[in-house]
Amino acid sequence: MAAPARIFGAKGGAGPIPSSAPAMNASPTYRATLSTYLAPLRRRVGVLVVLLLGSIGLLLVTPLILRSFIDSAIAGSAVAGMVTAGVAFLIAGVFNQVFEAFATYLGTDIGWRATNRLREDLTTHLFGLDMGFHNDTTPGEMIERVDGDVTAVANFISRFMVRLVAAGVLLLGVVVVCWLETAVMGAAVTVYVIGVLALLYKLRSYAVEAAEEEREVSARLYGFVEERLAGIDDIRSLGAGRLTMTRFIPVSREFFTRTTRAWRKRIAVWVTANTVFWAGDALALAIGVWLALRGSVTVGTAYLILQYVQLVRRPIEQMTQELQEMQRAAGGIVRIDGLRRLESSVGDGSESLPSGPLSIEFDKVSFSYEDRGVLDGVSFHLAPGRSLGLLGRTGGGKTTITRLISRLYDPDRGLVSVGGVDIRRVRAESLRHAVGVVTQDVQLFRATVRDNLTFFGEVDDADLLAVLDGAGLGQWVREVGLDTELGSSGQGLSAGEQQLLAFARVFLQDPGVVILDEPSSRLDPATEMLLATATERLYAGRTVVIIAHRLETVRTADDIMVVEEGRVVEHGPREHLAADPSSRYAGLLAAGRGELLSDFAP
Amino acid sequence: MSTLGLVRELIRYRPGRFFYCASMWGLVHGTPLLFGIFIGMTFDRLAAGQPLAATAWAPVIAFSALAIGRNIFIWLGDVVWIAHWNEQALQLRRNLLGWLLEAPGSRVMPLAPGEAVSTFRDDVDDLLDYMETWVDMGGLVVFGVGSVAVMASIDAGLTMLLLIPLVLTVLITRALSPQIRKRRRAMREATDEVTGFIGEAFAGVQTIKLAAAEELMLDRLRQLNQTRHRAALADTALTEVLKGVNRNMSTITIAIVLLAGAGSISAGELSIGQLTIFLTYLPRLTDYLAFVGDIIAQHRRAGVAFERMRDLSVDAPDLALLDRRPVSLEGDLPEITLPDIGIDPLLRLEVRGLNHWFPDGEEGLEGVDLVVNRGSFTVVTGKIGSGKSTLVRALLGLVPAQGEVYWNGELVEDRASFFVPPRSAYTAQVPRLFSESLADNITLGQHGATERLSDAVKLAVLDPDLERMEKGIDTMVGARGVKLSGGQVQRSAAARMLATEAELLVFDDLSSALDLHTETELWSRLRRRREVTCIVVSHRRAALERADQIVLMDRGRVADRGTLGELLQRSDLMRSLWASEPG
Repeated sequence: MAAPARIFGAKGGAGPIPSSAPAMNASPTYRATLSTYLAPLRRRVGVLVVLLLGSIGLLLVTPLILRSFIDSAIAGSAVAGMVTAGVAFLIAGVFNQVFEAFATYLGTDIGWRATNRLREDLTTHLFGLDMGFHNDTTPGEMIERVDGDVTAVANFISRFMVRLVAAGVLLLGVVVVCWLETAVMGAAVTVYVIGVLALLYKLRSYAVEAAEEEREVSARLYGFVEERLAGIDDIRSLGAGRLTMTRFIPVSREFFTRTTRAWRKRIAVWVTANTVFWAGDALALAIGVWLALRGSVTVGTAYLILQYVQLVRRPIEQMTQELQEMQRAAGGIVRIDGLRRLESSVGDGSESLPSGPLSIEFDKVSFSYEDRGVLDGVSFHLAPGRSLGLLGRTGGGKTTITRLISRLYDPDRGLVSVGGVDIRRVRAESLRHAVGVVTQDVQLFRATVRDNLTFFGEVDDADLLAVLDGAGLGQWVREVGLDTELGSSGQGLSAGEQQLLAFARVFLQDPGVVILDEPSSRLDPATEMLLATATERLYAGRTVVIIAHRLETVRTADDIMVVEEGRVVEHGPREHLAADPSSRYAGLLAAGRGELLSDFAP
Repeated sequence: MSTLGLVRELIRYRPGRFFYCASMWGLVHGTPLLFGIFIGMTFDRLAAGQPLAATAWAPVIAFSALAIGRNIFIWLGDVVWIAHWNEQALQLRRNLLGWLLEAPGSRVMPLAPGEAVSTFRDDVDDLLDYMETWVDMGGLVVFGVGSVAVMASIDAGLTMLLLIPLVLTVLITRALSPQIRKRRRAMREATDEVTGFIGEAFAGVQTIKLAAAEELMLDRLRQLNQTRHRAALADTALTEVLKGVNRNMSTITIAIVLLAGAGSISAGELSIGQLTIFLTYLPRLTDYLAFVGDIIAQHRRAGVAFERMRDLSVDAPDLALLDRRPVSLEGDLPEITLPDIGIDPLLRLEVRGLNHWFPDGEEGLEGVDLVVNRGSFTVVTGKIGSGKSTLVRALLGLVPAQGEVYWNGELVEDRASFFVPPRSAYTAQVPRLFSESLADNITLGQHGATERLSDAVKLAVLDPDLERMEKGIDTMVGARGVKLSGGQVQRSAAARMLATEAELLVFDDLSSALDLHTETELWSRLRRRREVTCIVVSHRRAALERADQIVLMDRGRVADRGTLGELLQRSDLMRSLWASEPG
């Protein structure tokens, strides 16, 4: 984001992002969000449920088969019955696994289907919010909301359904089967399952905290490494290698202490759980022996108890883990809902603007940001096809004027018209097609030159190059190569070339009005020349507003407007102003000799 | 060094600890042998009926004691292993970073810093994960051999039959596990694409709005989402297949026991207790064998990980990367002992025949000669891509180059370690700051730099910026200096260089940091204060006008050299450069 954009900060209706994560049942829209995205996937969800129930049923049956095998062996029954039990065991085991695999696959598919749509809808919504909102949030936060929170929801969907519900049903199944066997067994297993669940759920939060702490310290360690590697030339040429390695020590100590502590916490939780589970096995064995000795169950049933206690291990682990995850996902859904309720302070109209050069008119426009007036009663008229040079000190309001023309903000008072139409009545899309903007800082994407030019749209290469040839940029683009990959901060292009690319984008857009914020940094001569040609062609047949940092830039402008502290202090045809020795423009011409205007502003 | 040699070298760091952990895990993996036997005894006694059944309590008690005891071994082993693991990981990371920052010689890092970090993080982890496999190995062998021996002593024929699916487990895991890693990587990459795109789209949201490109960007997001969806499914599918195969192998082995054993049981050749031993051992044995199947892949992965560390270091010998010096984990920080560089004041710097090739074979510099005398001001100029920056970077040893550099007539052997303060200092075209305070960034630990701090700040015209910062010189600049503007970063870097009081100052293009006024002021202040020798890459008039000598670069060669007047007279290139500069 351009540095000047930050001065706008939070403005308009968009409040801060709700960051609290209240309990999942706190939000009534929580269920609505889930059902919106799951409803279209109803049939898949149905199949998933059937698969899961099948797999759970088979899992419950397996120990029963083993029992019957053991009991008939002890009773000395016919081998045929035992063979049947063996075959049944094999079939149940294999099908259980097959059902479970398909269920996991389907759960993943449902999760991604639903949440990719949610990601896309959320992005559309966020694109529509005003710049006040965007200036107040970082891209990192947006990644966290659009991907982090939504992924938590994806996990929630796939896990909630596949694991949590499945684990719950399985536990319930084991308890019911045990009660059906004998009351002692049922009571023992019920107490065991509930007790272990409660204990592990408590312990788990301890482990979650540890994991978060670990993430934090490793981010710091790798941040340190990444930063020093990026500055490797600076460090080596200043002989600061020794110092850097000494600075690495406290960072590594912190990493060591906290990671070690976090791991130990995690292991402690794991060992505790493991002890409880093994104790469960021992207990199951003891109860089995006790019941068998009293003669109230068969030896096979004694083995069955052991089997069932071992069977509940996995679902108990899953339940405690997923319950934690679920809370996180619930927090994500609440935050996403909060975002979706935000509305843009800049509305949309319904009219369309014609193509070709359009007039621009400001009528007593005032605009303020957080009670600080930026523009105060600015009025001017720019006829179609004429060019206007904006001069004045940084922070005087030049950039704000251009932002109001493209309706990134609405004025507090007054009227902005383009082509004679109040821009609040114009569709945002139509307005922005009609008004092309070249900003100082060019935003590039980590993608090919072609995708950077077309915003990933599908445009025929020949058409693309034809337009660029018309702008005098075709040769340059061919030299750089349409397929060349650029880095996000423009690696692969010089500052001047990034400007050329921004020009090329505007040519492809072919707007009737062009707004140009001249780059203040120096460009190399060859690029400067290309840019001059492109600028000249861009001006032809368009209405142009230029924010100039050098007098040289506005030498060809039709009109000059000097803006100071939010007011127009001078406005008129350039030639008149140049000829009038008392004008500010003439004063600048006399003093400036083409230097950067910021140093010499009146 | 072979991967096994690597393992040996890593064990040597603290062999005592390593073998302690290995024996603890030997006990942890070995005890389940006894679990099977105790369960077997319990059920044999139960099945025998009274009076023997009453003695079934004895193995139950033994089982309980052992089950608890085993967790103590886990804890005792892990507490030590965790510390050992983290310590060794830090040691490897320190060795790598230290080599890149301190080792003599010039080298170009083959990866972008962001990618290099993944070697620091993931490759080191991969290597140590493999070491962990070695800690487990003894225990796995104990259980594997032990359980097969117990089963064979019960029924040798049946055990032979079971070996078929067990060996299959090893083979299938071996075949599939590299595939799973590949798909997981694809999944990670697809995720990076999505998050990267979201980040960029919101960083550039103003551009997108102004270009009315919202729909186009959304289409792109849809595409990336689909790719990720597919990658996630591919990953899940294969993982489930492998999991399914291994669990089914366990089911199949048990079914074999039930089917083949049915006859022997009813004939009384196989007891119920012996049956439960099979049932207890087989699931665990399949798990362990799946792990063994993965070891070969892990072995290969560890080799690749070390290879990547070696590549990143460019030229580090293996033993430097495995340097066993312990990392400092407690106590006072070591004193920073900077090599005491005797002051040999610069009288004359001479460069002869400097050549540099870019990695793609394209020539960067060809036969560049240069003489710089004490107190002179040399400007290197030329078009973009003419080799200006490469020339100064090669001179200072920041990129490898052929040719000779003489300091007062003496050949400089290793330019990279020679050209440091107080001999020389350098400001890059895109200088980097670190996330510390501005003061720490400027002094960067140089002797006496703190005393020169305020002076350097003034010289670099950074003082007006400081006035506007709430915490002034103690402002934390954020990661890579993001909290400062681009100009402020460059001015801070200039101050950092000026605080070194080096004999030779090398500036690579200050033009975007300073306006003409300030730049002119900087040069004359610097001149007035002390006798300083400067090499400046610039195309600005303020610099050119003041140059004692201008070196005009064109396509990697010196096209011409002389004073501004001379060059303007005889060089078209110089004239066109001069004309395109304002002022």
